[in-house]
Amino acid sequence: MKKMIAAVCAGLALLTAPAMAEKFPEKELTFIVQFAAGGSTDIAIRALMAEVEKDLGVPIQVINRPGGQGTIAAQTVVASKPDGYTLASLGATSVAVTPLLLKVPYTAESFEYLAGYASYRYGITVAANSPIKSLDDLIAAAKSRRVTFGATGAPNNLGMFGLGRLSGAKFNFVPFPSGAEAVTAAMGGHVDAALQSATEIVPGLESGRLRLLAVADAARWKEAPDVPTLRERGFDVVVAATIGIVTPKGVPEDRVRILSTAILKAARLPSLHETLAKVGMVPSPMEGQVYLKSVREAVATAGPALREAGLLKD
Amino acid sequence: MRIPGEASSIVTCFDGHAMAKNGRAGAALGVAAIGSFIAGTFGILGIMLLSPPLAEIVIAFGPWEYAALMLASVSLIAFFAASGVARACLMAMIGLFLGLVGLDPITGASRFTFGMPALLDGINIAPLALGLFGLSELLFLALSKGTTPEIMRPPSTLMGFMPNREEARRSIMPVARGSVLGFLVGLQPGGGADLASFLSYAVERRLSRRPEEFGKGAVEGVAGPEAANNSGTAGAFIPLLTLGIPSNAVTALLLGALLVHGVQPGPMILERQPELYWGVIASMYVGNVLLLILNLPFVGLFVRALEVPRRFMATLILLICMIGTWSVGMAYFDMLMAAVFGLVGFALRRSGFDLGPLILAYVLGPTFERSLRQALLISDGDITVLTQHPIALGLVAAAIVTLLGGFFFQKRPVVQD
Repeated sequence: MKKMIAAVCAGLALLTAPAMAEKFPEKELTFIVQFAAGGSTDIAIRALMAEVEKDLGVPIQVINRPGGQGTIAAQTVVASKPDGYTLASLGATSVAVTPLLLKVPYTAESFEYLAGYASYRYGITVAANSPIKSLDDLIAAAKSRRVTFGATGAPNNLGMFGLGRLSGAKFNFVPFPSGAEAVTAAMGGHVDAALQSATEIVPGLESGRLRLLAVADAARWKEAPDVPTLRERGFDVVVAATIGIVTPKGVPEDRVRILSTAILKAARLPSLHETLAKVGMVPSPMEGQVYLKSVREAVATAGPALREAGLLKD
Repeated sequence: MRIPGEASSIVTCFDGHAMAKNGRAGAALGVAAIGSFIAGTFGILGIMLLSPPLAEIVIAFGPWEYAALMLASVSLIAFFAASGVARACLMAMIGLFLGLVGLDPITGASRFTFGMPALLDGINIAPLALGLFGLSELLFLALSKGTTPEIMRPPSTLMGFMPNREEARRSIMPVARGSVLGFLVGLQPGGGADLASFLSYAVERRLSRRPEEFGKGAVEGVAGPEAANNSGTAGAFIPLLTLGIPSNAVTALLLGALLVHGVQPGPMILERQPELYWGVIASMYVGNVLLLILNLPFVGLFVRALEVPRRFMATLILLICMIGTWSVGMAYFDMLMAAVFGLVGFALRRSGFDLGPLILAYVLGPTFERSLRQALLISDGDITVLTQHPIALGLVAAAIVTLLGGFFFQKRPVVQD
């Protein structure tokens, strides 16, 4: 008899589950960052999630799954349950370009895009004591001899390849495992130039060990207001590296809406813009659909660029 | 218990355990603590006084120099060849193989990942080291005869914790050498404290007048590596503080924290925020002193842990090793790998193979490959460019000499465990 009552009670309790599930989110969210703890991306995301947490009223656990050039985080989120409780940050690169280079079980279309958040800023730098004093010098050098540049991989190297294609010069890519190492190699003159992010270049600029030739962004850097953008010099090259917030495809639409609204609201906060500035990034909040469009564009342009550079997997 | 708590402690286990068996557990801990303190102080002094010139060294090291440095370091396997040249090379080959699992550093192609995303980043050192050394030791423990728990009697007086005069005298030079070596090695991005302790062990063994004692409780084998890994950690700070470049995961985290607080580490830090720079240095001194204060008196307490009956101790250690493995990547797969390597390590050690060369090759192989390929990419395949890099050339010459000398002129002690 007791067992019957217990069973009936359990059954009734189960019936309430759908009713409970109507409020989303009702338990902890998990957020996966594609880079290691302490890096600019990690800091930027944690700041964002601190605000989103307040808005949604549930704790958000931020975990790091670095590695595989961002593919490990991507694969982890793709494999997770599409219930809206798992999110991830991804760079436009890991969704657009990496599937062309590595064998990964996803493509740009495997994700539901919630929002775009912030972008890295990229610049071309050489050692301060290098004979190359300007962008023109660099291009001229590349046309007369073998010129190498260091970078961590896509999308940085795509920027140099783009410059090469538009100027008719060839730049040889030397991969480095981290931006810091690429920039140090440029400082020491081991590679002629490096194309890396502001966070990595600015300390060198301030100490006088590096010279910034041009920036691969839409706007000049406030740390180096005299340095032109590539566009200003006639080369329409902008390295697109916006971080997007994603969740696996298949999450119910209402949940997607709740998440993206909260994220965008937080991404537009001035306090967050300050944090981003501290790690050398610029805010670029955008709707998920807009971000998806930019990702699709990246896929379309990256293909030919990589093929030209001979990097496509075959 | 001969179980390493971290990758850089692996080498300390070799002779530390043997010393414990000889009843010198307290002395081993004491030497490690004091040696670490001295080395730590040296390292901090180095940061304070030598940062600018050392920053120049970091910049001067390019791919050729790194490749040569790795080659010179790997050549030290000649000194781990206690069990024979062929066996050491075999272990090194296995280590190299384990190191290449994962993504190709230049082209990004997957190597030996069997389609498993968990292997895309290669085999992590934590499960590898904890498994090969820690878990295999547990297996040995499980198999050893005797129902009475093996207890090592801790010394009952404070002086028992101190190294005796002989040990102290023999430790002086290893600590000094370890401090300097560790500091220089820790300086290089990606070098780190792990490598420092291995190199120190090999150097001490090479320079010792009694190399056959290594593995049986030579105090130099504890003093040197422990000193090296402490000053190596200090050395790793120089690229961060002077160039704003993090050289390992710890300094990367620190960089992030500093950035959030509006501090940009780099050469300008001394001019713009000197109070921060000196504050960090001061905190290192304080930490170092605290380390000594905590270590020495508590050595007695720690050593008493050896009195715990083996069967409880073993389970506890298994748990701690597994937690350690988990904490690195939060992946069940890592724990499975640790278990597999535990079995592999047990089998290898039972067959008389020395695991030292394996770990050395595993740690150094990937950096060597990447640096060499970067160097060749830059020179467009031209290896003769090496002649234009004197530092690299010197290191390569040293490597060849070490390898040949070590293999042909070393006495061959009997295989121990």
